[in-house]
Amino acid sequence: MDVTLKDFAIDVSGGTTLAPGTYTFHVTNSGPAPHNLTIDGPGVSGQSTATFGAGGTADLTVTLKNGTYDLFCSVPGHKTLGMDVTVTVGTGGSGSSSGSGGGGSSASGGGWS
Amino acid sequence: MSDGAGELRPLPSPLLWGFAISCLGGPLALLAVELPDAVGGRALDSIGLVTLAGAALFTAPMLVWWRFSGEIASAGGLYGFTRLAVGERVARVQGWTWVVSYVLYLGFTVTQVVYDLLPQAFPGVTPWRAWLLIGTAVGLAAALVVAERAVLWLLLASVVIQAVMMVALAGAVIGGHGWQWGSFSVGAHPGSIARGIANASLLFVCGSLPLFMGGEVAGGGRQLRRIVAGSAGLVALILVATAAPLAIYAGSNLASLELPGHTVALVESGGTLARWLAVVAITSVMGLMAAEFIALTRLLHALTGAGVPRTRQLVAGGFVALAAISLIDPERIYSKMITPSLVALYISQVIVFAAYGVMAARRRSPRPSDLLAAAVAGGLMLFGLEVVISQQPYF
Repeated sequence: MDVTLKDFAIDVSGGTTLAPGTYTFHVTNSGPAPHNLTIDGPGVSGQSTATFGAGGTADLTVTLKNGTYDLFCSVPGHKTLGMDVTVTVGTGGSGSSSGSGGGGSSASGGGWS
Repeated sequence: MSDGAGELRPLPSPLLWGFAISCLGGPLALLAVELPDAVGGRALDSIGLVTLAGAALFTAPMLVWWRFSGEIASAGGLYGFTRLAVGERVARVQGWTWVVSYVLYLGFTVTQVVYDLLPQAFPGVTPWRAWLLIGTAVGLAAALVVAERAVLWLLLASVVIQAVMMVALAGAVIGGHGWQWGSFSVGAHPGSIARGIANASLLFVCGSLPLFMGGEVAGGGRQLRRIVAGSAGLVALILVATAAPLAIYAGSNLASLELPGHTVALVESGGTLARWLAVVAITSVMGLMAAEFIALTRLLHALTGAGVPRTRQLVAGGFVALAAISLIDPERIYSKMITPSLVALYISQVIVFAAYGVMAARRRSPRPSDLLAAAVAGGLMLFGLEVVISQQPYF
């Protein structure tokens, strides 16, 4: 699943709801400020990429269970400025739970809150 | 109307400057709390242009106050102007409407400080907010009743510190991102820019508060108007220069934050600057509250003939009582108080500008600039009224 970080928003290619499973988020920072991707939710406590500069990429693999997950940048102030999205993981999700693989495991549809 | 010359001693000029500048926001609160919201998220990429044009638009009300001050300066301030132009009956309506506005605004502001602003920077205060609300109201009222002159000196010191913090915040943004010339260009949303300009202009509306010190200026109205216009010009200059770099936050949530300057400082410079900025910004809001309190005492003195010591006690009692009442529903009461307060404020200002227009039109040779200024200033206040009545978050 592709995730783009920028000043000050997070764009997630994929859907509103994911099925439980293991996902790899392929994260790109389109800058200009340094950012990271951090995930909080059931079974995932503050797992994050390193903070990296504009033009850089990083991967983050997490196992998501039923529930609500918060995807944000933990650089101070960035979450408040808008780098914060919520994704719901549940049985209604359309994503594959077959493991890592970037976009191959992404859900379809919109509706990120 | 009695100005009680025996009670109101002339103030040193620096104190009047400090008071006048404090009335404009105070300036740090304009930058760090009010301006991004006034400009709006869609016009944030043009915040320099919007702020500059907003300040320029406010020359219309300023011109009316300037010309009125050349004719009369008293503790009645705007009430005195209206009385001169159209007589006592309309002036009393104007004056009492203004009193209602600022009594409610005092109650609103102390709740905003304790329930909205403080927890943004200092979440640990949350369990103590009710005590802080009462403590702040009682402390401020007591200081103004027993040591008003000392508070005026504190306001002067505060505006100097505010200017330093504004430059520090802008310097941190410029240091990280460079100067933003694009902030002075028309961005993608011209309609939002036009609305932002009018909103930004209305941020200067409390610039009329020093007019109520008309009975305490050694040089009379001509000196007072220099201070009122000069302080607005100074604040406009520093505000435009320090706000322009915030254009880099276009596309972010900045305009919807309670204390956007704190977040900017946190992002650009870290926690230390952010904490100090929050403290000084909150202090600057409290400085504005002190200025509102003082202006109310002067106007009530002019309206009722009561001595200023007595009107201080009246305003203090009302202020503390309103703060106590707000504890019934402190999370929401400020939004209930701000609506009638702003409606009353804009109505009272419309009366002043209409009165000036009438006075100007009655002259044998009316000056077009007088009529134009009265029309633009009145229109700006009607726009403010429209915003209050039609837009969130007031309803």
